[in-house]
Amino acid sequence: MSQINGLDIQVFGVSVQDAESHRRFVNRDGLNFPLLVDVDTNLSLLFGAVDKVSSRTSKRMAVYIDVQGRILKIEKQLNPKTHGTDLVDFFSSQR
Amino acid sequence: MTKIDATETVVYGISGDSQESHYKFQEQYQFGFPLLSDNALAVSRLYSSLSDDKQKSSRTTFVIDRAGYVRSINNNVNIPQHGTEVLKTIQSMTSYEIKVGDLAPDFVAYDENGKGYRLRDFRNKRNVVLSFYPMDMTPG
Repeated sequence: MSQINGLDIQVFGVSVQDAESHRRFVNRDGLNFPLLVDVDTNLSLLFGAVDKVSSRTSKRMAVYIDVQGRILKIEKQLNPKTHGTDLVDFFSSQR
Repeated sequence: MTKIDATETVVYGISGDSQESHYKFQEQYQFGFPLLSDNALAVSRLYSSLSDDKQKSSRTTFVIDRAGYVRSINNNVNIPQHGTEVLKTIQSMTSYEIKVGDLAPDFVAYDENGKGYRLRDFRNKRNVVLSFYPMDMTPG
């Protein structure tokens, strides 16, 4: 993760569970990035991680945003095991 | 109303008239949505929707999204077609899709410890990755 910080990347996990569930997850897995609480699916809707208003669970996907605030990449085939290194590789290749 | 209901939107009519006046109006037309009485015109003032003489509300429709952001302001309301217009506005909001190259829509969100983040605050500072996942306690 120091590598990620060196590249100036802020990573957020986002899911529809509440803060307490997120805290348990962070503590269990020692996650060193924040998990955003999206109980009302606002963020998921905004970024297309749920298909329609009535969906209540986010799809697994990542949105890469550059320092200008532009969307660089929308990753829908996300491999959770390599996601951390994948995103560092991606931003490295952009430099 | 049912097509608007299907978009999970609640509709309110609002004016400076009294509750009693609203009651009669509702009896007569059966709108299918509540009429709010803005007696002191406080809400109308807040939304800059006052008539020129400041004695009444002006005719304006606001569409507010689930995050509380105002997404559409229509002060040229065509009454007979208004329901259809509003429906179209809501549908275009909810079928909005992000695209590579577009500015990411700004948002405010809170993490597991209640710390707030605004996307815009990262502008010119850091890249941001939003990793959506279905469920806590799963990999990724």
